[in-house]
Parts: sequence; C-alpha cells; structure tokens
Amino acid sequence: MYTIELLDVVTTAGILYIVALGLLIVYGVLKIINLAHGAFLVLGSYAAVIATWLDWSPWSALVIALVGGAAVGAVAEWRVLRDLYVRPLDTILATWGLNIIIVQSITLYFGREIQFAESGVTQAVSVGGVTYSLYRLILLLIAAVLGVLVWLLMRRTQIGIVAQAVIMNEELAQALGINTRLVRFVTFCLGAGLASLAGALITPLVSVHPNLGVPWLINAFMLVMVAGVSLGNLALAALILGGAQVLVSSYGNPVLGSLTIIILAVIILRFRTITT
Amino acid sequence: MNAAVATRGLAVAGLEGGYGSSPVLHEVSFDIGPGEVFGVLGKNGMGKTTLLKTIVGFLPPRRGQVELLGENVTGWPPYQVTRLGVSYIPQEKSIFQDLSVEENLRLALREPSRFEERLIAVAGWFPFLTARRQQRAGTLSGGEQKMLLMARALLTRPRLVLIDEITEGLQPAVITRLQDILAEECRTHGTTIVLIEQNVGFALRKVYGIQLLLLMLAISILAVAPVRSQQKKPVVIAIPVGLSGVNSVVAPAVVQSAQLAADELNAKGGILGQPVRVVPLDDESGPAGAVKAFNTGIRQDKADVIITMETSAARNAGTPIAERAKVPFIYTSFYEGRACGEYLFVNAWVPEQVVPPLIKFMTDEKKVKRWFAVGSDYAFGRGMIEAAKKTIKDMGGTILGEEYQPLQQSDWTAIISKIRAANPDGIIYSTSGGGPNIDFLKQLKAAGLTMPIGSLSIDELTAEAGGNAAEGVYYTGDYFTGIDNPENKSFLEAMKKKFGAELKTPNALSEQEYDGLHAYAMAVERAGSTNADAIIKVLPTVVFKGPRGSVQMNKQHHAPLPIYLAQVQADGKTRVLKNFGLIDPGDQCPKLK
Amino acid sequence: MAHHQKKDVLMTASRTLAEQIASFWRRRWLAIFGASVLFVAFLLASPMVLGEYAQQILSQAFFFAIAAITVDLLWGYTGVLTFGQSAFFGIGVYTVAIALAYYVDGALATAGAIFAAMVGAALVGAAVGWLSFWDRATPIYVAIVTLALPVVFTQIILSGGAYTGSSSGLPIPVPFLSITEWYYIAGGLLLLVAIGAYVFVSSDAGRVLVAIRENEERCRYLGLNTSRMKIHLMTACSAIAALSGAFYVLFSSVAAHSYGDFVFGTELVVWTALGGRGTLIGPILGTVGVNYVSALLGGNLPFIWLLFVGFAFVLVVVYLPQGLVPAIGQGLSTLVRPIRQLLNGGWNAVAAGAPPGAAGAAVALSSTADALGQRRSMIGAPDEAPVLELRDVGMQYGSLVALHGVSLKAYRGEVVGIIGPNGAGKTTLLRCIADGRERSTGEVLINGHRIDRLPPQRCVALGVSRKFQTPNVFDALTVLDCLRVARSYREPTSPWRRSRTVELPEPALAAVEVSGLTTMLNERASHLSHGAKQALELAMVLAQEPTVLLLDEPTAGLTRDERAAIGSVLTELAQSHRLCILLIEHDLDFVRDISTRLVVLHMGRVLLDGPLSEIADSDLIRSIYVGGTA
Repeated sequence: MYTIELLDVVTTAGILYIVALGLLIVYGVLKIINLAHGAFLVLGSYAAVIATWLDWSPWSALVIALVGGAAVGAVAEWRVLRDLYVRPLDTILATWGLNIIIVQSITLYFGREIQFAESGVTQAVSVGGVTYSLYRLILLLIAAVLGVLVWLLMRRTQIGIVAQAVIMNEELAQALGINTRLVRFVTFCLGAGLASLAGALITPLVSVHPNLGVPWLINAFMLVMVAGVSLGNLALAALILGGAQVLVSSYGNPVLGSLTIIILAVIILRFRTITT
Repeated sequence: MNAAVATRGLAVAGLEGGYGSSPVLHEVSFDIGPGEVFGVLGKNGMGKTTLLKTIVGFLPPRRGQVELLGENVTGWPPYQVTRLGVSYIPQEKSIFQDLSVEENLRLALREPSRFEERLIAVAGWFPFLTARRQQRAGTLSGGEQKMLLMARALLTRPRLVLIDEITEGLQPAVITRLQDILAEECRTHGTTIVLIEQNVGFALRKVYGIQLLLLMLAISILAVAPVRSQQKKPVVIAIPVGLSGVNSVVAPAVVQSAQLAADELNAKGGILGQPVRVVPLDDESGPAGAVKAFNTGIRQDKADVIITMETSAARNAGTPIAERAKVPFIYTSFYEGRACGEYLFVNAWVPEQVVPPLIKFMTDEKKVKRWFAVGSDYAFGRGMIEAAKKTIKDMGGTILGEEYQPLQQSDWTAIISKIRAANPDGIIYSTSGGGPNIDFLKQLKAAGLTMPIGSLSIDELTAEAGGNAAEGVYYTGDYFTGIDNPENKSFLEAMKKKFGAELKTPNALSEQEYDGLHAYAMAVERAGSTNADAIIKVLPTVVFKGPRGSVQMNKQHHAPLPIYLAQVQADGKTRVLKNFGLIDPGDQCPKLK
Repeated sequence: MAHHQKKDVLMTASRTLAEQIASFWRRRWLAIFGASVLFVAFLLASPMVLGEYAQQILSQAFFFAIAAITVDLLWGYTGVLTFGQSAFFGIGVYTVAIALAYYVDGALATAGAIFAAMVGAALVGAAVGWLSFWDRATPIYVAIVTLALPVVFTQIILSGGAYTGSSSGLPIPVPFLSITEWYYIAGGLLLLVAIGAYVFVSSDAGRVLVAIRENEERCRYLGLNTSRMKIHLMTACSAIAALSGAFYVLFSSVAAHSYGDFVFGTELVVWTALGGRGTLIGPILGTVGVNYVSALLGGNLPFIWLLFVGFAFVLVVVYLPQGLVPAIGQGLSTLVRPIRQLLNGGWNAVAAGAPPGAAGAAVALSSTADALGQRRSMIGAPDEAPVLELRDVGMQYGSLVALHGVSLKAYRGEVVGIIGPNGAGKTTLLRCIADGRERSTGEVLINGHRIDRLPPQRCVALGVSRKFQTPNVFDALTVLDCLRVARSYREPTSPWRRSRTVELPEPALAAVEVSGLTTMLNERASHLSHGAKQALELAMVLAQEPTVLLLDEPTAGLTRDERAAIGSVLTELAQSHRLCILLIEHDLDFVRDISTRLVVLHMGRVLLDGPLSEIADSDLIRSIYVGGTA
C-alpha cells in the first residue's frame, strides 16, 4: 500500500546523505562551514560530462569526480583556507567566494547551458509490486556503503583516529606531535572529493548546469547543522527531514514541501535543548 | 627602407573617421613603439574595428594622420600599407574557404621562392599546417582557421600586426597557444602588435608596464567619444538580452540572428538608405538588468526600436520604459500571453497557439483520454497548464491529477510517485525552460513510466543536451531547424556561412529576432521614416515571409503563426512531424485593434 | 595631601569638561555637516558630467548601498553575519508593489505603503531576531536563520501566482520622475540613512554594539541584555532595508523575486566585505563601486567580471579582512604621516608645559557622589545576613562531577580566598554563582534572592559581578569606552548622543587611578599591557556596583608592584565599601595578605573553611600545594 512512499522516503534520505556527507566531514573536523560545497557538487556533475565526452564508462565519472574534487579542494585549502581556521566566520565568506570562483570558471568554459552526461543505469525494477527507479535504489546502497566506509576510515584507520583526536582536542593533538595542518589538508580534500563524488552520483537524476549546486548546498547545510558531527545523526536527520519533505510534498503543499528541510532545521536547532 | 625609418612603430594623431558620413572615431591619438603590444578595449560599437580599418586604409580618415613605421600613410590604399610590412587580421572570416591551406598561405607572400623557408618557420608554431597543406581551408575547424589566419599574417614576418578579436569563439587552450606565439614573435623579432579584444584576459596578458597606460588611454579615447548624430544617422536597433543569467544560453543565438538580418539589410543599402546598427545589451536575464539595458539603449544609444527576446520579468520591467520614451518594442519570445502596450508587438507564440494542437494530436492520434498535468509553479507553467486543461475538457478528456513543483526544486520524487499511482494514459507538462525539463524527464524515465508525454516547455537545444532523456516527447512550436521550406534552408545556410564555427544553432527563441528585424525594416520603408507613431500604425500591415512562414502581427499586436508538431528522437534530435497551418492567438489585447 | 590633590584635578575637570564636550560635539557634527555638503554638492553637480545612464546605475547602487549599510550595522559593527537582509529589501519591494498594483494609488497612499512595508519588515525582523538571538545561540545559528529567510521569501513570491507575479515579476504603475530626479532621491535617501547610521554607531549605544562583537560573554556579565539589543537592532535594520526596497521598486517600476533572494543577500555581504566591514563608508563605496564597474564591464564580459569579483572577494577575506577602504586609508595615512608628524611636532612643542595625560584623565572621569554616599552609609552596618549563600551546589559535565554539594555563606566586608589545586572546581564554583544556568543541583542566593536559572545579565542585577581569569576587555574600544560600556547597564545608553565622560563609582575610580590607567584613557584596550588589562577589567566589574565580587586570579601575570596595588584596592573595597569578595588565587602569600577567610576546595568538595588565622598555615594546605593529596 505505502510501498512507493516508503521507497521514496528511504531513497530520498539516501541521496541527501550522499550529498551532505562531504560537508559533514569538513564541518566535523575543521569546524568550518564549506559554502563551496555546492560548487564541488557541480564539479562532480561536470566530471560526468567529461566522461561522456571522452566516451568513457559513466562509472568512470565517479573516479574523475573524486580525484578532481579532491585536487581542487587541495588547491583551495592550500591557497585560501589554511590561514583562516582561526576566523571561523570568515571561512564562511571565503568558501562562498570560492564557490563563486569555481562556478564562474565552469560557466566560462562550458557556458550556462545544460550539458549532456551519459547515465549508467536508466531502467526501472519491480520492488514489492511497484516499478521503481533502479538508480535510486543503487544510490541507497551507495549511501550505505559510503557511510560504512567513512565510518571505518574515521574509526578504524590511523588517519581517522588522528582526525578524531583533532576534533576532540586540537591543542592536545598538537602536543602529541600530530601535524594538525596536514590533517586539515587531508580532511578538506576528502570532504571536497566526497562532495564532488556526490555531484557525479546525482547527475543521472538531474540536468547538468553550473548553478545546480545551490539548492543542494542549502539542504545539505541544514542537515549537517542538525546532525552536528556524527555520521549516525546525519543518517537520522536525512531520514527524518528528507522523509518529511517527501511526505509534505506528497500529501500536503509542494511549496511547503520544498521548504520542509529548511524550516524543520531552523526549528529543531532553535528548540533542541541538548547542545553538543 | 632605411634603419631610421624602421625604428618607428605606429603613431596616430587626431584621427577622425567612420563609415559613410557618420563619424565613429573622434580625435584618436596614440603612439606605439616597435616591439610593443598595444591593446584596444571597449564596448561593441565603440569604433575599435573602425580604428584598425582606418589605419590600414580600408576607410579614408576624415581628419588626422596615421604614421606607420616612419611613413605617413594617411590616405594610402590598403595594399600599399601592407607592403610596408603590416599584417592585418580582420575579425570576420577572411580565409579563402575554397582554396587549400597552402594556397591561402602563398597568397600572403610576395616572394614565392621563400615560401618553403618561411613555412618551416611558421609551421613550428602550427604543426598541423604541413600535414594539411592540401586540405580545403573551409573544412578546417574554427580554431584551426584562426591559426591559419595567424600563420598567414606571420608568414611575411611583418613588423606590425593588427589583430581584430582573434579570440572570439576559441577554446581556452587555443587562446593560450596564440598568446604564446604572439609573445614569442614580439620578443624575437621586435614586432609591434595592435590587439583589439573583448577578451580582457587575453589582452592583459600581453599588455604590461607602459603599454598598460596606453591601453587605459585607448579606453578613454574611445569611451569619451560619443557617436554624434549626423544627417545620415544609422537606424539603431537595441537588443537588451540576457547575455548573463539564465538566458545566456540562448542570447548569443539571438544576437547572431539580429546580426545576420542587419547584414542582409545593409547589403541592400540599409533601411531608407540609412545603415543598420545592432546594439546588444545585457539585461542580466532579469528586471533590474532590463531597466538598465532599456535605458542605455534608449537614452545612450538613441535606439529607434527595441527588438528582443527576454524573460517575462525583464519584459515587464522594460515595457514601461519603452512606452514612456515612445520607442517601438518588438518582443520575439513566446510567453504566457496578454502583455499589451501601445508600442509593444509580439511575433512569437502564446499558449492559445501551441497548446490546443498538441492536446488534439495526443487525444486523436495517441488515444490519451485520462491525463496527468504537471507544471513548474510560476506564471508561465501555470498559464500553460490552464490552457491545456481547457482544451482537454473541450476534447472530453479527464484530468486525473494536477501538480505543481516549486521552482528551483530539482527533486520530482513526490510528483512522479503520484503520477505512478494515478496511472494516466498520458502526461502533459510545462516546467520552466531548460534544465528542469531534463530533471523531470530523467527522473520519469528512471521510474519506468512510459506513457506518451506532451511537453509545453522543451526546446530543441534542451532536448539534445538531455540525450535520450526526452526520447519520444511530443511538442509544438512555431520554429524548428527541421522546418522544410526554402526560406528556412537559406536562413540556416546564411547563418552557417556568416558565423562558421562560432555559429550558435538557431532555435525557437532566436529565429524570431531575425523576423523581427526584417518586419521592422519593411515597416520603416512603408512608413517612410523611423517615426515611432508612424511605425506602430504600419507594423500590423507588414507581412514577412521568413523561415517560419508568413508572419503578420495583425491580431491585437500579436501574430497568427504557422504551428508545427515535433517529436524528440532517441539521439535527442528533434524531428518535425506535421504543420498545423496558421493558428490565431485569440484575444490577447482586446483594448488594442 | 592626597585628598587635596584629587580635589584640584576635579576642579580642572569641570572647567575643561565643558570646553572639550563642546569641541567634540562641534567636531562630530562638523564631520557630518562637511560630508553632507560635499555629497550634496557632488549629487547636484554630477548630472552635468554624468549621462543619464550613469545616473541610473548610481541610483540603483545608492538604494543597494542602503541595504549594505544595514548589513554593516549587523555584521560589521555587531558581528552578526547575515545573508538575510535581501529578504527585508524584498519585503519592502513587494509590499509597495502589491499595494500599488491592486489597492491604492496617489502620493499619500504610496507613502503609507512605504510605511507599511517598514512596519511589516520590522515585525518579521523582530521575529527573526527572537528566533536567532536566544541566550545560547551560536553565531552560526544566526547565519542559518538568515540564510533560510531569503529562500523562504523567494519561494513564497514564486508560488504566489498572478498575485505576486511569480517569476514574471509584478509591474506597477508609478509616477513618472526623470532619471535625474530619481538620482537625487536615491542619493538623498542614502545620505539620510548614512548620517543616521553614523550618529548611531558613534553614540553610546553604538559603542555597546562593538562591545558585543568583541566579547558578547563579557557584555552579559556586565549586566547587558545583549540578546534584546540584537533583536532591536535586527528590527531596525529590517525596517531600513525595507525602506530602501520600497523606494527601489518605485524607481525600477517592477518587483521581482531576485530582489529578495539568497544570491542578492550574499552579494550585499560581498560588497560590504570588499568595501570594509564596520566602517559605514566602506560598504557604501563597495556597493557603489562594484555596481558601477559591473555596469560598465559586465555587459561585455559578464562571466569574467563575476569571476573577478569572486577572486577579489576571496583575496580581501583572506588578506585584507578589514576591507579595501580601510586598507587604502592606511596606505594614504602612511604617505601623509611624515607631514602630520611635522605638524604634531609643532603642536607638542606648544603644549609642552602640560604634564602628558593629565588633561585626558581630568576630562573623562568623575565620581558618582551619590553612590559614594550610599556606600559610606553602609559602613558599620551589622553583618547579620549573608549576601551570598550556596546550598548544596553540585555541577556535573557528563560523567565528570566538578562540584559535590558545596555549601557556603559569605558576608559583607569579607574577602574569601578560594584555594585549591588545579581542577579542584574553583572556576566552576564562580561560574555557578554568576550564571544561574550552570549548576546541576542545589541553590544559590544573592542578597537573599534565589538566582534560579537566571542568565548572567540577570545575576548582575542581583548584585554579583565576575571578573574572568584571563583579562576580558573589549580590544577594539578605548579604555574610556570600555568603562562606559561597563556603566551602560546602570545608565541607559543613548542611540544618538555620545558622552565624553563617564561617572564611575568610587571603587572603580580607585582601581583606575591606582593602576595608572588615567594616563591611557584614550588608548585602545588591545594596546594595554597585561597588568593594565587586568586592572581595567577590575574597574569595569566594579563599575557595576556589585555587592558580591567574584575574582578569578586577578593578579595572574602581574608584577609585584601591580599586585600590591590591586591588593590594597581590594582590601579597601571590603573594608570601606563593605563588598563581599570571592577570590581565587594561586599565590598563597597574596591570599594571606588580603583574605579574611579561606576556603579550600579539593576534588569538587569544600575541604576547609575558616578564618585566615586558623587555617592559613595548616599542613593540609601545604600538602595540597606541594602536590600531594590530603
């Protein structure tokens, strides 16, 4: 009966989770809000366009996106953000500036028109009696895999442990001989790479143009603010807020639906008593 | 020539000049030494090209003096000027298209014996030249043609190179190559280079130090010299169009349409003997920019008419300005209808013209009885769906659902699930232009929904950029590149010939601009003047037979139009299926006649 | 002898005071008057040179600059990063547009619509402020709310169908004014708003805004309800942004959603940052400059121009956070410095007779005689009721228990030294007294009133003031301004007047004089030595006229002489002014010198509590300080 709604809710949550993951990592470790996140999503989408131009498999776009996003992120961290961590509000401005630079560069090269990118999967499958988009289901799977991978990376590997140490107490981490500068650099690259990867992953569902990032950025931003720094909370927030968006759009008013995530996030943050 | 002469570069003093009797240059003076790079920047129509043409001698100077490499060349014919060691690379395509690459190159050199030697030198920079010596120059790509131009200019080892807008329409990689070549030439041979550029980045990389000062000077010279109106002033056509913002995708095609029409008119001696000048202005695709652009066009450029395609918000902002200033305004974009003004004319479709034929076709031929209507939540989207609903009711169909998606929301999940639940025979939809069409269709396709789809918002470019996302979608319109008539064929050919590699494919938002210019020209000829009140009286009587067919704006300032049915193919290309014939716009502005 | 000298200084003070105030007022209004005359002259003369096109662009830029001024007031001066001013601009645009398109016409009705737009925006602004500025809101939260606001606004406009014009915009019938007339209107409005903003930021209230930006926590502990101030400011700024939007739509004759969207909101921030935040003139020049150049260049090179703005913005944020205008100003002043030095040299030679600094001190400070009398009358009053009482106060951070049921009473005239090893819970104890929301269990009473869960500013009203461990002053303000901000809790601040004096209660005046701050009253607080900062903060805290004074290591980092001076001030406060002082100290000798009673904390419990004479030399204290456990 409610199979479609259920599928819509979980796959929407999965997509939102993928899109917000990179932002969460940067916010969690670096304590900065990366407003260039939307631009990295755009970069990822154009990676898919380039893969199409080169006649490579649509899946290769994911690799191009991850590597390309991380590379641009590296330059951005190195040239722009490195000295700004002590001025957190200014990092919001600087990353917004970065967003302008990346988006305008793409516009200059590709133009504002929509670009064609090949999709790997376009068919639908039958799930519980309804035909449903296979790609959305794959995205749900990828969201889960990415979530687990990032969790393993953060909890089980040396670099993750070091990053955790920096989150918890940066001075102490420095005192233990951890190069926090390097940790930040690697983290930002990872965040940018994941954002870009997310851009490539959502490309089969959306049209590719230089301004596709901003609406996604705003939703991802709200989710991360609600989730704080925890991967589990992010999944929960994506499920609750994303689910609310789908349900409000379906049964209520679509205008309200499109604003659900923003409004809920503002309310939750205002009236949540537990502060982390 | 002796050494003393050769030490000089180019000196211009008090130069005045222009086309016919209308002066474009006023008191231009500057002095460039050998080995310097001199950039000339400025807006369109400021006289940059006129400056170069006057220096080389294509245009006679009215007053002032040009001293080139030590010689006073004022008034010399171009061939003599070039023999001093001057290479001029004009902006327009100046390749001999039907000659081979080698023949093109040989033409430049007056000492055939040295050809091979010089070719080797130049081919170091342009390796493709030797490989393609026998290829027909017209078959080279746009970038290669520009390189051939450059090679031809450098082949003679000139001492002064005048370059007009070399980077226009080139890929960044090619531009970088050209920059390196120019820098090298300048450094090794002390060549003087005068560069006209819109591409400031390109010009700035070449121009530094003292030259930058000269550059600023050049800007001020050109910027402070207003175009004074003389007895035979040009007919100015302002085109406020979205060079930036959402419309920047189609705006270049609109400007090209206008340029082609202007060329054709000028080739016939202009309008009433006056040359036609096209002034594109950026309206930033929105009302704020439109206010600026309309005021610039009307007050600064003294436009006689505004002919353009804009967003509805921009049109709404611009209309009162045109009305107050009493400047005719021909709007060339399809829109939601019912925009009226004494000076406002529309030569593109309104919903009443494209919606009923599409619905009728889908009802009759595709047996769609139970419909699902989807729109973007804004004036155009809702207006189109309203029109569609009316026709569906008239045809006896039912509407199972009607959903509107907020603008700027690219996730169609909820609506697609509702469509699936309703299981209609067919879908009629109208999103905002461009991307949202593809968002919706991609997600619809991924969801496995395969019923017939009628689109009220897709266009050829978008469909093609969407690949197979839009496959099978039906839509109607007044212009498609695939329209099979002689006017359309010659229009497309002329466009291709004029713009070559830089051609922006004409589309359903740009072709009307071409029609608009011609219709205006006919109106002026018929009225005998550009007087606005005379024009608005005769404009409804003018019939222009163009690529779309015969168009006359005789229905309350709107036009009955030939409407075509088309379908998107598997490769994203659009095929025209059918011509419905002339369809009336209905009562758009009952207060007007 | 000492008393005699002070009298002299005060007499000089009253004389020079009047002159100085007059001269200052003259100077401030002279600046406003001069700038206005220059601007009006430019406005009137420029149409002769500028074409209608340029006037058009400048008019638009002037309207936008008004919105940028509100961004500067909120962000530059008060530190509230806002992306949402565009929404208020949009409210102005649409209120007037809808009114004129459907309901009213005529000049009077238009004025009414503009007023309604301002009221509407003010209400929304107040709501946004209430939402954003609750006690523990982070600066990020404000950014979230103000980012959400334009998104919501745009969506409402877009889904308003024909009523709002949706994406087509809403054209309105407007009285036709010439471009030049609009140019005058826009310029005049900008001038009025800029003057208003300048008067406001240079007033006493404006100084408090900067204090909030510099250190909001300190402001709260000075008894200022910063949340309410920010809500008021947000309300006013919303109304002003709406005013500019309302005029702008009359000028442009069409309302469009892009005037209220997120992108425009960020552009306002970009222009403000480029020009120079917190300078007023910077955002105005930034806005006008970017808009003007973009009109000249943007037409031909729209994307390159935007890219250039992006680069410029990043460069400014990273390398010139203060913005271009201040940077250029500094550049000019380095050029001008040699000349000024020459002039100043002459000046100094003329004024050589006067002792340096004396004049400044005399002008600025005077004692609040009333307060003095009050205090004096309290001398000798019986110490029967405790002014501070802690009942079983406990404090837990997660699983870590910092305080275990601490009970304590303290009386007027006592100096209670709280000692104990690091991590004993000393600072936590002070926090639980000064902020009702801190403790987990138990009760705190000040002057017999429970503090319940009151925030710090309300605790200050009950009579408790706290000095922080590291000196906590407002770096961007002068010493005098810091003291004025500290007094603004007692004396309501004026949003337009700027006082040149500050009346301090005698204890605070004493702290200023003893520490030698009198010679540095016009010095920026960031330039002070560590010791001077400590003294300044003490004076600021004493300016609250507290009954209970909480001091967290007031002598840390001070020289022996400075320590002695502070010690004597504290002793005097307790003895003559009957203050109850709680003092955390590591320096046992200092504690011994001035305390009347000692409390030893260890592992979150009170280990010992008794008169100095009884426990100062106990083995327990020694063992704790040497590092062992008792």
